[in-house]
Amino acid sequence: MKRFLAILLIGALMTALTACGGGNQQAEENPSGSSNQGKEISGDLTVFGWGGGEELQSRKEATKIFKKLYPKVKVHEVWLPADNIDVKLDAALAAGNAGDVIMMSPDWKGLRSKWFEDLNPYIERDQLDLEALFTQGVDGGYVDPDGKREGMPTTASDFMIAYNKDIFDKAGIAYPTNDWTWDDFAATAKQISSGEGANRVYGIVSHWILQSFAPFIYGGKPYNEDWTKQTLDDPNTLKGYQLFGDLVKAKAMPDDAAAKSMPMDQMFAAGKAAMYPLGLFEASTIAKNIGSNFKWGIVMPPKDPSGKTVNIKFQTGFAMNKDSKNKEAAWAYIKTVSLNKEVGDLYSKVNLPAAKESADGTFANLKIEGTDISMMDFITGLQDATTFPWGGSIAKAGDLYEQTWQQVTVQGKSAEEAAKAYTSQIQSALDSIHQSK
Amino acid sequence: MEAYYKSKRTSDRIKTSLSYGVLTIIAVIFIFPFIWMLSTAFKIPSEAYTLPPKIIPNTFTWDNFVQGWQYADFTRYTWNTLIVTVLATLGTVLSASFVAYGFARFKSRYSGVLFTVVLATMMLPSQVTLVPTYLLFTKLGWLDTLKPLIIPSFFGGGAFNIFLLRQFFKTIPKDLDEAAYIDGANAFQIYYKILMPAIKPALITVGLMSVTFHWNDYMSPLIYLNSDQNFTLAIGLQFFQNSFGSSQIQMLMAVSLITVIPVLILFFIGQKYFVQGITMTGIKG
Repeated sequence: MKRFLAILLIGALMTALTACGGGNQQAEENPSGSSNQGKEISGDLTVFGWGGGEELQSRKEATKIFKKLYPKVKVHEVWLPADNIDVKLDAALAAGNAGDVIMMSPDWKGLRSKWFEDLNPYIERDQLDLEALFTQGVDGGYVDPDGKREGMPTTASDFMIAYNKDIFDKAGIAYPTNDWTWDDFAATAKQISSGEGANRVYGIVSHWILQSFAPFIYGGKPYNEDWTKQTLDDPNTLKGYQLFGDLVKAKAMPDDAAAKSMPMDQMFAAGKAAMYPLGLFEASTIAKNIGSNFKWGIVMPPKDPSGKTVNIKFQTGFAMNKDSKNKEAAWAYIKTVSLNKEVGDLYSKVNLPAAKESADGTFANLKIEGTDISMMDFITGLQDATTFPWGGSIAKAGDLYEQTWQQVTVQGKSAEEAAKAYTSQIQSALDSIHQSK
Repeated sequence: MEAYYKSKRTSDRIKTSLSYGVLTIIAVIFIFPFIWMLSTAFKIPSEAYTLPPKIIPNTFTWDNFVQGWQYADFTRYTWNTLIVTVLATLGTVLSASFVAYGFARFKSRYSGVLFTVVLATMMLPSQVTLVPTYLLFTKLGWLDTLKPLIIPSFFGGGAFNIFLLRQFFKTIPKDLDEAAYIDGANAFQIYYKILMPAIKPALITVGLMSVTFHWNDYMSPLIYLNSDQNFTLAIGLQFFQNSFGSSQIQMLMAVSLITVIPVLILFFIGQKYFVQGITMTGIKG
């Protein structure tokens, strides 16, 4: 009898252990939690997003994967062009028909807090260890200072500096390395520029993203953490703007007239500029344009004085509408497009996937289309990157920072002079965001 | 005396030449973007951004038109745009002229106030009315249909058009109305049979402006439409730009050219009346 009871006890323990182990395994192997719940969740679900080209196509394909996993959910998709989408979204949210899940970016700075559901309870319920599941750096900005999670990331994009090896070789200058500084960058750009008039070869193109890099390159920033105070007049921020003003003056970066003569990607592809801030989202297009014109490579953007690589990231994720009538399906969708491996692999073709498994496994092994250049650096670059600083509610102030940039790089004013003219306006713009919240 | 006239003639000639010279320069500046669009639409990709820019391409190609048109369902978008433009223009012309007729010919204690209220709507920024109108159309079940783009045109046709037509009606002598009234015509017959033919240039002006607005309108379709099958050309073009940016500028220009041609043709046909309509109402640039 004792022997029988012992066997029974061991058996019960084994069963319990197996059950526990199975549960953990499912949480680890299938974070999107679809296999069991897929058959249970049903009803209508409206997905609201925007964009274009291959990226939009990948989002539509991701929805198809969701439909396969959750066959009882009837998905309605609304995909629109990105321009002025905020206006549409404002109206749709106010009317309560903006959809159950809505595409969002953390650069909106909590603009829509009142509309979005806090996703923390869902994450806790499903025991998701996001730190282990997400690509490092991809999740920044989705959690408000008060701890509320506004959304989950799906993809991100950051920048490398693409350089024309032929121009470097011809000038006898060593290729840049990942530990270069912005002083090295400026010196290289000036040193490598040559020629006059239409034959001028510039050190760096006048890319629109440089304005976003400028405040950070010497350790400054455009505004403080809770964007209540402008910090444009911080000496380090000013130094960053001044660097680019000096590059224009030294003709190492195209002036306004030269910049308007042709798109900057075409300028780089045509061999008329030695360096180009290459966004991941445009890497394959640029590669196609370059073709076999010249040999080229990529390097991480330069480091700031503290040794941190300065980078800007664009992030896209999904949030749940607080008014959603089908929150379970909405959560299932968000989880799928954020963490599912198949979806992540799909995103890898056009962007950096949020799902670490796909980023490390699929994306890292990819090369920029038509080249031998590895995508790996884009993953590393994301870790320290700053979220695009001018999005959403900050956009009005962002326009004023843009005008400051124009004063320095187009009008030829010193950064200090330009800042004097704009700091109070920028401060008012920041104040107005908090007044309207 | 002869010397005086000779000097005056010379001075007039110089003035005329100068005027024409300045006007020609301005005309070239205005038409240059269109010429550039036309030229780029026929270029191969490598020629799109050559420096210095070339107006006449070395290699002409039609591929941009074919490939660009095939990128999205532009045929459907054109059809939707056509439906919206034709019906909304019809609504605008009919209702604006009807309201303007009322303001021009009928007096009451409140007509002044009412007219001021109508004009005041021109001062309202569109953002102010956006959410209420969106809510209204949602309640009516019109969302994701072409109705919000068409039906409102039948309710007044816009303050500016009412103002323009009212001014035009006021230039027509009331004796015409009175003669028709004596002959037994009622108010609607006077409007329809006597005054409408008399204000043809103004109606064409309003019609042309309405066609241009509805054909090019991006915001309203973006706000009210959700499905690909209902999209208009402006939305399709924006999708195209979102997808390719400046990298396929030659295709973008080709599709833009196709979409702009109908409006251009219409303008050239109606420009005589357009100019007449604008000048006769006293609304000059």
